[in-house]
Amino acid sequence: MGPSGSGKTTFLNLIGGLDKPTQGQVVIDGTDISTLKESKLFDFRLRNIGFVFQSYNLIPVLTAKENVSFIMLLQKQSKEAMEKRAKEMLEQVGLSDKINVRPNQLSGGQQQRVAVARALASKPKFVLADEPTANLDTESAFNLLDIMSRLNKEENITLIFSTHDQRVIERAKRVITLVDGEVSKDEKFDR
Amino acid sequence: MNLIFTLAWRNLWRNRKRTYITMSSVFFAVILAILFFSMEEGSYERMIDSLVSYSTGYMQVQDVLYHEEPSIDHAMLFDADIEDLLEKYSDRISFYVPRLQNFALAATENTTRGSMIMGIDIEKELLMNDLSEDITAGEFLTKSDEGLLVAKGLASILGVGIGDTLVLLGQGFQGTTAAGMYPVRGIVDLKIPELNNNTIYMTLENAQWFYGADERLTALIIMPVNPGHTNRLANEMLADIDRDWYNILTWEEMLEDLLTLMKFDMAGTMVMMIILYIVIAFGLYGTMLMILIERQKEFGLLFSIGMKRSILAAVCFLETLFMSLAGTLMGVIGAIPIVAYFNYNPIRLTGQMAEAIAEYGFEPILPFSSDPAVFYTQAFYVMILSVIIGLYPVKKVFQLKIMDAKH
Repeated sequence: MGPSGSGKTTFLNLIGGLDKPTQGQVVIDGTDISTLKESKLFDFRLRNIGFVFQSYNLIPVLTAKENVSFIMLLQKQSKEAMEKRAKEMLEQVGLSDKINVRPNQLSGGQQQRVAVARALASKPKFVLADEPTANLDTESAFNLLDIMSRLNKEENITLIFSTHDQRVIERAKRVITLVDGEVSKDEKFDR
Repeated sequence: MNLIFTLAWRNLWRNRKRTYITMSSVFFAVILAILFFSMEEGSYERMIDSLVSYSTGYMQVQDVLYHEEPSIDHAMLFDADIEDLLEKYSDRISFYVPRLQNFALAATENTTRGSMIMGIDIEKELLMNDLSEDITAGEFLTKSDEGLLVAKGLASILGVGIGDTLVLLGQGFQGTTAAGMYPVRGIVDLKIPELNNNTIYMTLENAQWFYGADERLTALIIMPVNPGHTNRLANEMLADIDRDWYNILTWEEMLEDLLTLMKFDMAGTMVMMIILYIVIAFGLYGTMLMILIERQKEFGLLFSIGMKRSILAAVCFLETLFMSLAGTLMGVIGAIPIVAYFNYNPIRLTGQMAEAIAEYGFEPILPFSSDPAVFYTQAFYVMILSVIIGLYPVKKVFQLKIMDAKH
């Protein structure tokens, strides 16, 4: 967490391999991703990292199920496995009745739930969520956070948030506070 | 591959209005390009067809000197060698038409006019053209007819009608005097003004007698089974003929000046075509530019979640291709009935343009060509253009920085 301009999004971009550090290294699971060539980095992201953004999360021309299957499709998983997992994830986020619906027919909260389902469907090592609740009303935000908390436990996948939303911070097990690009506080909670 | 097709196809319909407008610009440009090209080709086909049918044929056997100096003195002998040659290639020759043609003065009591006397084999000539159907008064010649068939324009200039007598006077083979009186049996409308104003037909035997040129022809027209193989057949026959006495010319050699003029004229049409292609190119380019700007954030998302640049580039490329393919197909389909209509009902020109065309010796009409090449060449050019335009988003996708795209 941290105020605007503190470097939260930059930090997420660095560990997501979307941006390269001008100094230092970004090491994930023993791999220095800051030295990877672009094609390797695309592959690394595809296989290890899930993303949930504040907006522009879904591919508008694909249905909810196709959006959830998308990463698995890029990973070249079998059709049966994709179908099964996509349905399972949409059920987990409470959208089993919206399988064949396109994003423009979903509310903002529902779109974010599909994005979460997509990020987790391919079982990445961790998911980066850049202010996922910023555009949601209170009810939708609580609903989304409940789902993410549950999936964090059930799927055993780490979720890293960039946020200044107190509702998110209250549920986090570790909160790192950034100020002007520096870590000013690192707190752990038993939740 | 399925993913690329699905995304490209569905993306196409994200902004239906824009897609329809882009397709329409391709559609109209393709229709116009086809119509221009068809009209141009149609005119040339008509000219060539008229000249080939009524004048040169696809190829001619001539005396070796006749092409350089077309005189009755260079009339060739239709001998056994030529008959053997025709027999040897009989499976590739549809038919042949012997002709003896030369100038003569045609006179009535009050008027004299220089004319082209055309000695024709009645039966064989009708295999080549519809001369008998162009009779406007009187009758067509019979095999042993002693009369003449006068072209309508010339008949009007000379003021002769059916049953009138024409006096013909000219120079015959090797300096003999050619003179005779012949009754007019029929009037024929030759459509091509130059021919219509100076042609007189008589039977080949009559012409040979008139010019004192027994067994001689100024040209032996050969019509191949496959006109597309004219040049090949001419070359093969040339190898079998006595080159000291005979020559074989194709219609392209005989109408060389006309073909050069056509090529020059075609350059004007090409300029129009290029303008149309530029319209298509800008239409497609504008759409692709809008798509790229509009979807920048989406591209950022796709790159972030692991979609390779090559896949996204292929999707954008296919979108351009789909749009131009649909526009082109509709354009071709839309042009077919228009071309077919004007193919059967040529536009008849009037005024100065008609006069200008008539001066070249052609009927002043604009028939449209229905040659399949008219359609597929335009489709091919537009597809090439689309591929070039389609490479622009490909380049942009490969150049796009993820961080720039996300913001």
